[in-house]
Amino acid sequence: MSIYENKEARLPLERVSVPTDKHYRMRMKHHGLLNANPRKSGLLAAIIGYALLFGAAHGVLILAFQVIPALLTNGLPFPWTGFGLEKNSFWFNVIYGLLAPVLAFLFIAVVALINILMLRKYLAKVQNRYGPLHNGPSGSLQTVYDALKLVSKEDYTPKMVEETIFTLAPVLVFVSAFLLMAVIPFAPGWVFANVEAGAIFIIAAGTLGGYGVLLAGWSMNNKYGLMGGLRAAAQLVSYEVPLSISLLSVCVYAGSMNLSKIVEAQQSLWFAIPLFIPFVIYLIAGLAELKMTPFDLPEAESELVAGFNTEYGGMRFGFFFVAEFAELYLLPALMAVFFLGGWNAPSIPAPTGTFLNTWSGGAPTLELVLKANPMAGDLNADYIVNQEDLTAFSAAEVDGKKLPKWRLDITRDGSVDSKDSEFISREIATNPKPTLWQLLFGPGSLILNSIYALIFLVKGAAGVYFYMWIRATLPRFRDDQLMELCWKGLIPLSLVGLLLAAVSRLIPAVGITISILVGGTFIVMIARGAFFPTSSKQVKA
Amino acid sequence: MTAVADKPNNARNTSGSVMNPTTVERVAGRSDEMLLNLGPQHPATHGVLRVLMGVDGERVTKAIPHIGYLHRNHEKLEEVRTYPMCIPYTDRMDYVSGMQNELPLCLAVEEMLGIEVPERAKYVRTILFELSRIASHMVWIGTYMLDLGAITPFLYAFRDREMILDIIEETAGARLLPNYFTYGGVRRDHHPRMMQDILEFLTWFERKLPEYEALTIDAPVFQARTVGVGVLDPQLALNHGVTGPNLRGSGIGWDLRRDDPYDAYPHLDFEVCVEYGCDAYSRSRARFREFRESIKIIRQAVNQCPKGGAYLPKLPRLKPVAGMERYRAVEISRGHLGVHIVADGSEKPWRVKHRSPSFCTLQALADMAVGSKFSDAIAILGSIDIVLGEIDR
Amino acid sequence: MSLLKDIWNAVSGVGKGMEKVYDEQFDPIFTEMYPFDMPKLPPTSVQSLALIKNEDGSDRCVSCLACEKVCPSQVITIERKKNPAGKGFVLERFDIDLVNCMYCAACVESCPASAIVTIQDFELSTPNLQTLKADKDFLDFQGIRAQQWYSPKIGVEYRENVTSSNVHGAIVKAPLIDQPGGAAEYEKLKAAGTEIPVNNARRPANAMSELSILEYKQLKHEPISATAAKLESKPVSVNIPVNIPAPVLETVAVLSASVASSAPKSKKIKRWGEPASEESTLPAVAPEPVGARHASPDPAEAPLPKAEAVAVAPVSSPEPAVSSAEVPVSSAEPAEEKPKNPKIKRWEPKS
Repeated sequence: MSIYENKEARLPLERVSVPTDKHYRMRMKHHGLLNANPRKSGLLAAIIGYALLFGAAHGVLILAFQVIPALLTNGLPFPWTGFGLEKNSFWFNVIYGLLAPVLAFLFIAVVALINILMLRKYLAKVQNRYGPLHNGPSGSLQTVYDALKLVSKEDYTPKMVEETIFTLAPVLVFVSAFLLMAVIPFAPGWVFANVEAGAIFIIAAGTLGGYGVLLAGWSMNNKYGLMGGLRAAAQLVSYEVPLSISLLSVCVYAGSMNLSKIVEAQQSLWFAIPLFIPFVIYLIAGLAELKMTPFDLPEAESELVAGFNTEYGGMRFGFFFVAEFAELYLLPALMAVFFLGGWNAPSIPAPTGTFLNTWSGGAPTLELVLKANPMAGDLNADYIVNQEDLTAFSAAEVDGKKLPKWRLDITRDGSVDSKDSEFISREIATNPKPTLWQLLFGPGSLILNSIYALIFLVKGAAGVYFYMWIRATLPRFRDDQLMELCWKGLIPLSLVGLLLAAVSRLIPAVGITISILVGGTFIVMIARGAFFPTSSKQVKA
Repeated sequence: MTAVADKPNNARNTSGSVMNPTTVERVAGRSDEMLLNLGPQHPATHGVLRVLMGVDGERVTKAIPHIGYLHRNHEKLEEVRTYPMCIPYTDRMDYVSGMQNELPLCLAVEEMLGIEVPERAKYVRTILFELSRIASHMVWIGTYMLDLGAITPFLYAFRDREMILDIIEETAGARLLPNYFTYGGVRRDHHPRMMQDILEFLTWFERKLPEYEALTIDAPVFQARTVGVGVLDPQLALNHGVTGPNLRGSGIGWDLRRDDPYDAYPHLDFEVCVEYGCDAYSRSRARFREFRESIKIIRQAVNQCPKGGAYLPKLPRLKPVAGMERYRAVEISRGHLGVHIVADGSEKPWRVKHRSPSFCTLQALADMAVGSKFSDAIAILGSIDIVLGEIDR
Repeated sequence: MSLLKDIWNAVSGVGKGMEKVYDEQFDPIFTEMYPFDMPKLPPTSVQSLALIKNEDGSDRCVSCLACEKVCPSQVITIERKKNPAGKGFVLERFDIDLVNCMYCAACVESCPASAIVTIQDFELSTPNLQTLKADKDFLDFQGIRAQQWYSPKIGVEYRENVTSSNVHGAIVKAPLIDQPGGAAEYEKLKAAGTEIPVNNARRPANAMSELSILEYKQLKHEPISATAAKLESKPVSVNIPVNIPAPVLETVAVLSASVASSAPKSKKIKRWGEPASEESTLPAVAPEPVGARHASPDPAEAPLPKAEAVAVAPVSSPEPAVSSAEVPVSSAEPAEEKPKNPKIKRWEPKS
């Protein structure tokens, strides 16, 4: 007798509560969602929500580079006098040095949250979905909620892991992204650490992330994690090479390793044009450094479940996640610095600089704009060529007048010499007191620098969009194809690019012509190396 | 044809292990070989397959499929049920193209009892059969691209598959497990809008096909990942009993729709899509060409579909004579799906045996994957388009 | 040269994919916002089972045990006893184990009395599987809940003009095309030149009455007629306080839509190949001459029609028997009293 025939054996009927549409609606109502179909949420609210998000990133920059230094140094030309610390004095350095990492972290966190949100929204749009929708207008607060969830999760360490390394690895990855942030110039003078060897610093800091990923994969004692870590190490180390060479060719062409100076050198012509080969190589190698499709082998979810972060959860995973998406912004931002003119607005090549110069009320050339801001000359080592000169100069009087503090740093190259003195005295003679217009939009003013930073952020965002676009389109490579592309395609060509950069430095016209010609050859190599493996041919009927 | 002997790890070694699931120590021959349990919970196994993989770095040294995680004993269940009760169970085998699974059982019982199926029913069956094939191939291309790392085609494929499922739901009452074909035709006549819906869908789908191709088989990275990967020798394919697009991708033009036709296929003009590359790319191409062939078949069938009833109002008693047996196979999306029924004169079949295509195809996995890269093994597993519900039954 | 060709292939290959992806950004979004927009299921969709009662409140089931026999999953349990009053049997127990049910609708096909039907209530998810072991009360209750239309024999009968305040619409025969074998009949009539009424609207499935199963639990010990009376008297605003749920609106809208009458104004979910107008799906069919047959007030503007104002149609009229003269419903005047069809007695709950 089957259980179906044995009616006594059937379980007794017991009905507690059946969640139905009513329950669902009650729940939705509890969250205030019942009457607000998110599909129909207002366009204006969505625009405001997203604008606030981007404004947050921008606001952190303004806070870090303009407001706080001005408050500390009494750099504002307003009657109110901040804390009155001397620039570059001990206490200024201590206080600002303590605040700067916090602000950098804030920026990274905000940018990562925006990137995650944007990626999800963009992929959804491309895939005919809605994407995040429920939290905030048009889902703009979704990632904030996600971050809160990650933070509030249990800090769990699996049993068999190598605990110290397991704990440190995500920190290492995050620190790598964090360090990249330190040297990026967002606007004239808006840089945390204006390192003279900035390009080398970037290469070094970027390599640090590879260690973190490798150690994470090894320490978790998981086979998928190990394979992911090894893949990541191989990939990151390999692609570090063409990336570095392409950065070096920029340094050769610009004649400096200081990122601010590299940006200054692009006032008339963006390096993407004369340095086309390094630009493309940076584009591809940067994608590989980001571990994004088509180079997402280390965390290929269909092969290695989650790769090197398989065993991580909670905020430990969150560190990987935030670092990944912070880099998703920082690498395109560096691309903007090196190749797309940094904060320079897009303009026709013109020796006088960008339209903003003209627009800012007949201000002096852009070089002056760069220097005339509260931050310049204190933390920026390259500007302090001669500290004694600077001190002497600031104490001096020009034309019998005490220099206004906000003009102290108007120098040509950071050092103060007689030429600068003459220049400044002429400046002050022609325009002794800043007008309101100049206060607002003049060189070094908050608004002007904000606009520069905005231009920079938008350029970075364009790079992010391009990377996301590729991510939405392409499948991933195999590991040998990845290596083939790097060692047989990118590295030889990046060397050629370096050579051409050197030639272009000497003879610009020749360099540009050759660059464009060889750009085609470069694509050929990529195409042959990566997309058409020579080993197999399709057998035809 | 000589690839069997040339392979360093030939079929016999690995298939011996398949028959005798071994301990980890016995499989691991070398100390630097890592054993990787691919599944049963793994994103690339499309269900609950477990593949015990030996990897030496990125190189696959062993690939031993362990099956049975989805075993539901369909054959035995069908043996203790009457003939009409069997049909819903066949749906559950290949749940990606559920409607196709009902057909071999219906054909076999119809032939045993000499039931004459109305002409219209044959055409309706054919149309829905091919529609299911398109839906199934869509699932394949979506999940395969997921395996290869692209997420977007998956969404497109499932978006368009929804349209087929809508049609099937409106016609049959359920989306995946429709229980629509029956002895002597279909369960009820379809909604007259169905044909119109199908034609509209085909128009839409033909517009979208170039998009699929641009994102998949025409994409350079896809070709880099699939060309020359997972070479399945034709002789080996025959030895393993591989059928369907996998066999046709290995250069053997064998298609039951043409070679052992059933329903309305004798009256329809279509091409058997054969590709000669023997690799994952050829299998993909074969499936993509079948999209177009299916569209062609459906168009013809809709045009030729006669009027009349699509089901028999009165069926004879479903009691085949004792000792009568019948084997009938049809060409479902994955190959031969056969059913062998032995009757004992009662209302219930004495023995039901399902011959499922994915089961045979999976046996060739080791021959294709061993020696390749680990990523390739995933690409191979995706390219043979298995459904675990049908393997385990 | 082949080198250049290879470049061109590779670059254009990637570029073509990127172009397609870019184009897709501007395609409509296909997501159905499920809890906000209820999916519209076709009338044949099998989501759950229910028992139907006769109009006098008695069981329609004749206890023939046919469904129990044909059930492949063997989830139906029926106990019956001799009818003390007359011939036949009466039900003592009718259980369906909805957990193990595979929703093949074999029971529905086998039922000679059209007592067990498929309904479109898919919202049965529960943390406690015991709740899905449905007994007769539950199945009866489901039958009442889903009375906007139902389909014994899958797609034969429909409930007509059901609103949230009037869950007991009259049973009418479904349009010809929805009946088994109707397609052949339809072709025949079309060849003969007869005008055929076609309700081309995709019928919504899930126009739930406000009573949920939760409330059923409270009502469980009451006789079914009392439940029905509660349903009848239930004001709309009690359960869904602010807005009338979209499914109900859409039910009314779609039920009221016919080929000739104006399309419902409520926003429809964009389905895949849905043409711009519903007429284009069946261009050959002559539009229904009696546009008012299903017409009811526009749901978006007018209040829901009262029970008295609902037009009823003959029960046994497979042919287009209802003419505009019989049911003069004007969409502009929702409050207008409509003549009742004397042939039909509306089912009244026993007190």
